[in-house]
Amino acid sequence: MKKNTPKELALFGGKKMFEKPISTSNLYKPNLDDFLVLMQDALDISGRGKLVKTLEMELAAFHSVPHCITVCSGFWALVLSIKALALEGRNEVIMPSLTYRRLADVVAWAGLTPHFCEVDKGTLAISPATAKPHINANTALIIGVHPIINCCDARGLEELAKSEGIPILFDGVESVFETIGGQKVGSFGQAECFSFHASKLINGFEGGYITTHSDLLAERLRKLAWCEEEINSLFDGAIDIPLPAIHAAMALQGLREIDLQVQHNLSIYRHYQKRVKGQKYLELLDFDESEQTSFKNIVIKLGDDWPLSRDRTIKILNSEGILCRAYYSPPLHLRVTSYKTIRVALPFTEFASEIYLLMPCGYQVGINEVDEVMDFMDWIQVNAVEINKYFAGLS
Amino acid sequence: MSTYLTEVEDIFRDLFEREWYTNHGPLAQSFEQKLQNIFEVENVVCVVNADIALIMAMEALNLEKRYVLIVGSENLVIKRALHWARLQEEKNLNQCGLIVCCGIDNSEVHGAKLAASRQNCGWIMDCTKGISRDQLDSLVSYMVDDDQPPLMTVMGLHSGGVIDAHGSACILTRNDDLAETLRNIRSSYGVRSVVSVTKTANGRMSEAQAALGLLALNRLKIGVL
Repeated sequence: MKKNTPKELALFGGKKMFEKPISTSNLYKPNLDDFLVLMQDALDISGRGKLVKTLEMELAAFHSVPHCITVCSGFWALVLSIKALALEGRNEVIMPSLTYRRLADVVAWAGLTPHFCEVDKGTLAISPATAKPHINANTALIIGVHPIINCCDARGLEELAKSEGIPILFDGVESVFETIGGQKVGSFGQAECFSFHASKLINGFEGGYITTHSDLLAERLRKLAWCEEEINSLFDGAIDIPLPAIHAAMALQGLREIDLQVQHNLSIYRHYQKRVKGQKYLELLDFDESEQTSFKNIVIKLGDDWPLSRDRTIKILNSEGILCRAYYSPPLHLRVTSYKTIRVALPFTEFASEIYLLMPCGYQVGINEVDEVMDFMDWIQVNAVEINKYFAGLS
Repeated sequence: MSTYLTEVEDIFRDLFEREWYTNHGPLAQSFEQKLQNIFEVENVVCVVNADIALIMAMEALNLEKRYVLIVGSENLVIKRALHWARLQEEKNLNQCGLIVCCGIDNSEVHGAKLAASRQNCGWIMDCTKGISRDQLDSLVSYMVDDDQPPLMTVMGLHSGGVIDAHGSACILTRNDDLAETLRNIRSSYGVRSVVSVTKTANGRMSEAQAALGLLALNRLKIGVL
C-alpha cells in the first residue's frame, strides 16, 4: 500500500501496510501431510524415543559429527554445554557483547561470569584477536558465537583455545547450514549449540541440540540432560530437559526439507541484492558464496547519508507491520544485570549496534513483500525531512 | 482414523494455517485461561518443561534466606531445582526461607502449611510428576483455600499425569506480582508488564504443546466451556 504523505504513516494514525506482520523470523512451514505422519509417532508413547533418536542421527550426519544430543530448549542446551565444558576452579567465560540478548543470562545460569570482548570489524564476530587480550588465569571457557551473516573464524578460535589450554564452545544458532573452509558448522570446537525455535532455520516449535565429536562429552551431556534413570539425577548440574517428541517431529520434517528452505531464502536474498544495488543510502551485508550458506538472514547497513536515525526508521517500519529489528542492540556490556559481568569499553561493538538493521525474510516473505518493503524504504528516504517534522511535532 | 487423531490433525491444520508456532500464541493463551478456570486460580504460567518450571518458581522468589525445608518423600526434581536456583536443603526450620511440599497428599500439605506458618514464610507445592484425575479437586481446594494457600503450585503436564501437554508444565499462583515475575523470567513474550528479574530462563510453551494440552482437557471433559 503506497503512502502519499507522512500523515498516512501508521505511526501517525494511517492504515498499516501489513495487517499480518512480516518479520525477521524463519517460521518455516514444512509439508503438513508429511509432518502429520511423523506426528503419529510422537503421539504414541512407545514411538517417541525412536523419533527423537532418528532426529539426532540425521542431525549428527548433517553436521558430520558422531553425536547429537537434543533438549527442549536452545537456551538450556547452551547452559548445559557451558557447565559441562568450563574448567573447574575458574569462573570467567569470554564471549562477544554484540550477540544474542540472553547469552549473558545463559552464562549466569551456569554459575559463571560473562567477560565481554570486542568483535572483528569484518565479520562482526568474536575473533582470536578480539578474544586473546581477555584471557587470564580465571578464564574457564571461550564461546565463539557465529554472527547473523556468515561465520566467525572458528579455526582461528580453535587454535587460540588449544594454545591457551581453554575449552571452546560454539554458538551456531544462526549458522546451522554453513561451512567454513568446506567443514560443516557443528563440527568445530569441543561442542556446538543450536536452536529449534520457530524463528531459526530448523523450525521445531521450540528446542535445541548440541553436537560434538567427543564420546565422553556426549555421554556426560546425556546424563545431565536426560534424567530417566534416577541415579543420573544425582549428577551435579543435572536437569531433565528432553526434547518433546512433537517438537522432534516438526524439526525432523524441517531438516528433511532444508534444501527447499535454502532455495527460498536465496531467492529473497537475490531480490534484496537487486533492490539495494547502486543505492548510496543502504548496504546489504553479503553472504560468502564460496561457502555453503543458508541465506537465512537479511542485514542492511544504514549509510551515513540515511536521513533518519536507525531507531526512528525501525519505529516507522514496525508500526507498518514490517517487524525489522536492530542488530543486537543494545549490546550486552551496556545492559544492567543483577549478576556480575566483566566489561570494558567496546567502541566498535557500540558503533556496530547502532547501524545495522535486520530486514524481513523467511518463509512468510516473498519477492512481492521485498518489493513493498524496499519501495517503502525509498519513500522514507525521499520524505525524510517531512517525516522528521512530524516526529518533532510528536515530541 | 480415530476421533482423537482427527481432532489432532484438525488443530494442527489450524496451527499451520495461522503460522504461529511459539512465543505465547493463541493456543498457549487459551490453554492458560482454561487451566485458570479449572483450578480457580488467578494466574497460570505455562512452561515448556517441568524441571525448568520448578527452577523458575524458586528463582522468582529471590529469597534472602537461601535454605529450604522439604516436606515429604525425597524428590530428585526438587533437588535438581535447588541446585540451579542456588538454594540449599535444610532440616532446621528456623533457618528456612521457603517450604517445598512434595506432592499433593493431605498429610504432606498439612505439614508444609504448619511449617510455613511457624516460620512465617511461603510454601510451594511440587506436582511436577503430574497429578491424577482424582487429585484435581484436591488441588483446587488447596489453591482456593484462604488459609495459607501455596505461593505457587508447579504441575507437570506430561504423560505421568492426567493432563498430557507433551513434556510441559505450568505454575499456578494467586499472587499477581509473582505471576508477572514468572512471565518475565519465562521470556518477553506473554508478559503483561516489564518487571526486573535476576535472569531470564527461556521457558516458553510451544503452540504444539498447548494444542495437545487443550485436546487433553477436551478428552477428559474438563475445562470445556
